[in-house]
Amino acid sequence: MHSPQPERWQQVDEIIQRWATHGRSGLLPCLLEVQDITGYLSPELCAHIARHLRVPEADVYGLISFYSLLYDRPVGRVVLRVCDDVPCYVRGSSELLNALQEALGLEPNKTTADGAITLEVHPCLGRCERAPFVLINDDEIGPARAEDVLARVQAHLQSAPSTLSERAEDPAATEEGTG
Amino acid sequence: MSEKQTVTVTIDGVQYEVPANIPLTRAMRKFLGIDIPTFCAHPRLEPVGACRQCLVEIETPRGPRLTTACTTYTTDGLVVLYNTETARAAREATLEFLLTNHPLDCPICDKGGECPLQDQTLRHGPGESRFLEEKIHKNKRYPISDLIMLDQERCVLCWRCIRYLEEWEFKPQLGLYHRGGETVIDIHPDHPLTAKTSGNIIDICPVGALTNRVARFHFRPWTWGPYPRTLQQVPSICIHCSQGCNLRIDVRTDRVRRIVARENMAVNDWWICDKGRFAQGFFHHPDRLTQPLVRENGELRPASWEEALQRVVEGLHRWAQQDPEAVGAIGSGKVSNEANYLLQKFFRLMVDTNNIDHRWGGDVLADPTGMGAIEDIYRADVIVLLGLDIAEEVPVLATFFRRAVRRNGARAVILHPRRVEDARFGVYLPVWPGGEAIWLNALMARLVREERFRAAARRHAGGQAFLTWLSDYGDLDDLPGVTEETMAHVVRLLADAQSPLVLYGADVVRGRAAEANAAALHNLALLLGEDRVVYVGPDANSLGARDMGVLPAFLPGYVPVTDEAGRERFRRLWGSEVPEEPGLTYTQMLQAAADGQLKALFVMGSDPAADGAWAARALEKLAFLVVQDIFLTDTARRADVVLPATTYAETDGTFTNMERRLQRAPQAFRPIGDARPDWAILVALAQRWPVREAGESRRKPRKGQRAARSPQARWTYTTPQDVLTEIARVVPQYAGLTWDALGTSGRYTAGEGVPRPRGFQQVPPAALPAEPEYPFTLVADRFLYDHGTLIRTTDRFARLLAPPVARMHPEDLARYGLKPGKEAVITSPHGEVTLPLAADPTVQQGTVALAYSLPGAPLETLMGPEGPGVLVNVVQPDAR
Repeated sequence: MHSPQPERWQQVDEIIQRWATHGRSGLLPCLLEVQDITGYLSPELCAHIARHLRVPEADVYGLISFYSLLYDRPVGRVVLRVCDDVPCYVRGSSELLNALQEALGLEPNKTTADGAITLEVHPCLGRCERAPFVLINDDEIGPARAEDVLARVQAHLQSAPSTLSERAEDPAATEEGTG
Repeated sequence: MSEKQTVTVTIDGVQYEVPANIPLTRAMRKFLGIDIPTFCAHPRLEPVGACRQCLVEIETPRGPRLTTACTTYTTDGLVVLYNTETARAAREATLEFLLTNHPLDCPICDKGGECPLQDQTLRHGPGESRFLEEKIHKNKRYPISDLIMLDQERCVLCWRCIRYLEEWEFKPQLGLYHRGGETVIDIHPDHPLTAKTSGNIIDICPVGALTNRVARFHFRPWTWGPYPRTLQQVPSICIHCSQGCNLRIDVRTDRVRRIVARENMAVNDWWICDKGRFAQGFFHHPDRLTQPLVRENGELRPASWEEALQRVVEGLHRWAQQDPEAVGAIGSGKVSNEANYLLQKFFRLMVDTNNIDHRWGGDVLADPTGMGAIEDIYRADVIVLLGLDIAEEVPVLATFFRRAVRRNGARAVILHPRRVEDARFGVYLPVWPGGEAIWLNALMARLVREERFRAAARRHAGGQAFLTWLSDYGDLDDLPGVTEETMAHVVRLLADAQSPLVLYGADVVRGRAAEANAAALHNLALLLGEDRVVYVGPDANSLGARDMGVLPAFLPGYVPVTDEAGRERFRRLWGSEVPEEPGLTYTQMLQAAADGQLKALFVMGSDPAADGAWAARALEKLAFLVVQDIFLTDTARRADVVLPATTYAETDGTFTNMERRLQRAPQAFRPIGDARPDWAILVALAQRWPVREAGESRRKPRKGQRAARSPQARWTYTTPQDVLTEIARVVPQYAGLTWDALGTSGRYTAGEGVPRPRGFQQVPPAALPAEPEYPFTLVADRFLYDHGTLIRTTDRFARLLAPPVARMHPEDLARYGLKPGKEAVITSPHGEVTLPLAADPTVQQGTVALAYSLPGAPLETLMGPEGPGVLVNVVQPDAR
């Protein structure tokens, strides 16, 4: 557990304030920016954002369920997205995935117990010319080999900032920090 | 707007004149009779173009382009290609795609037979499927509330339900989740629908995705065969509130199968509320009374109709002979005009008493002028809701109210002892029960500073004196929670308003402050203009019961019983003398019973015992009590004779709604058991009443026999229509309104002769009471889902009924060391009740909110005969 980081919550607040006047059209960028800090969008956070942007909560959840880059439950600090669409498959994505699974000890779409790494299988990531393609957070790797990917994951683990979701699941903290 | 203008559009080479600027789908459907298939387009919802089913080709400079007709508006020179190969292929493809994942479980689907998806597949579909893969599976029996079931597999994602909740309820509780073929409509987790009109999404769902959990599997829309096996669709009305929404009762084998909304743009648009739709359990409930009961050796036992009727006649006749003033009758705003009319006629003529009233009758000092038209709410620029929790009391009108505010830019002012749900649509001001007049006077004292209102005041009798009198009442000191600033804001709104509308509820003009409040509302009506201040009664026939003269001081049509000429007219019409002394009101009758002055009481469709412990005790004192009802109510348990009546759907009847529209509720099924309609029971009693002139003979005078002096001779009604015909002759406001003339959408009754404000009245309001022993003011809440017999008889409402708790502001709870969730003893000068407490920030500090009709009638017990504004104390025995 990390110590509370009030200044990060303040950042969340600033993001929400910045998008508040945009209403529904500000919802997507607001969610993306907030998630960068919080790691995922908790129900309390969604309600809070909905209230400030004056959009129905249903819309917030609708958007999160629509975009696979938005999460309504905790994910790892480092998210590995392995493309499994046809061109990547032909270039060996399934072997790559197996290797990564074994090395990380993770089932697809699961997160390590320490909350550090999430492994996701994704439909087309739009980089067919670099198949098999892997995305580590925003970092593009392709054509990807398991060793390269794992090395890069380690690098990310060292450098990626911790997210607030690793720290606290307590809704009161959310309310207190952003309210 | 531009509806009046027409434009020329060309469809498949033929030119048509259609209204300008309307969706092309509507133009083709409604004006040209072209059956263009649609799912998402709905006449009462904004177009979204979501389903793509209405694709047509539109000529553009770059050639024909496939476009959704529902989002294309009619403009001059629009060229549409509808029946071309491309357009047809596009529509076929859309249908084929919709059907790829549709489960096609039509045989067990409630919608089967009235399903647009079925119809359009037949007319516009490809006829065969090429889809061999596994269909996507989603939630099938998925409750989105206790009343509505969602089948996500059947859904075609037209968003009608989402849009209804957004555009009419302003409660976006449904949303689209996930993506592509896996998209579903869903509530968000653990937030079931709470909108009070949510059931309308079942009606507008173009497939069987949303179904009625009460009616599910109890009907087939297409069942046919000879009566009663066919599904009868009876155009009727709702009898739960005073809006009188039009609905259709579907009946098969003499059982109500389901209730759906029926369009009447002037009354309820396309909508009904969830109480009207789902509360159908009472029609055939096993507890319904099916045979007469008489008391013998202290017990009620079944009896024949003849025996029961004789007992009633003997009992009432004995007391009528001794002292007609010792006999009383209670009618009901829940039963038809015909029954109410006959009730008062029976007691005025046979028993010779004016002790005739109904709950919310003579005790409620409201002017029954009614709303000019329900649509007026859309034309209003400022809407004031005074003591009316519109979402709970008139839920469909509440949707109109919200649209008026959000779409027409009307401003709203909500005055209520509690911060009610709709307070979010405007300025909220707390108003103390019983203190409404103080507030209204303060408002008017500021309003008349405007020249416009001074001029209005001078136009009416007593205007100048009123202006002088009013200047003493401008103080806000007596109004806790109201600041000069908010008051100035409300004054500004009303001063700038061209068509303000004030709607007030029954509790404002009842009880201790009734006279001062009624006078203040009178005066406000004179200032704001004719029909701008409107009473919204609590019952479906609140106005009708008044019109019919079920009032102690008025004959039908508001002829005062003290009016010599008026009584003479009725003597001629009815062939008998009419008593001239005003009788006792509902509350006064119960008090007279408690004092032993009232000996015999006849109660029709009402349950005075549910008016609290004081009322129940009063009923115990009666020497003779007759109850005519559909259930064995607490009052009926105390009765000497119980007469089983029918629901409104088992006989023909008419009701008068809040805009004074008279509407038909025709018979939908045959009476259950031996139950008889209210009107028929009263006729049977009248025919058995001993003939006054001809000694003790009980024989009914035969038709044609000369018996002009005995009123029984005129009781020859064989149908409720006969009664309505007499009403149309006797009650001036109902002249010309025959059963046939009403049709299926009703007709306005005339407003002439209805009591309305004439001159200014000067009734000084009493200061709000303060007693150290009773630190809280009791607030009476009305909930749509109360515990009345009409709703708790439907099991699906079990978890939705108002919780039996006393609600207080959290800070009050903390200050007085009271614990929410724990029982507390609440006392008032009239009684004591024990209830759990609950924290509710919508309750004002210094008040305790309790709902009407909770089990055991705690609110009514605390209120006693005094009415709203009672002071109470709250003590928790086990608290520190």
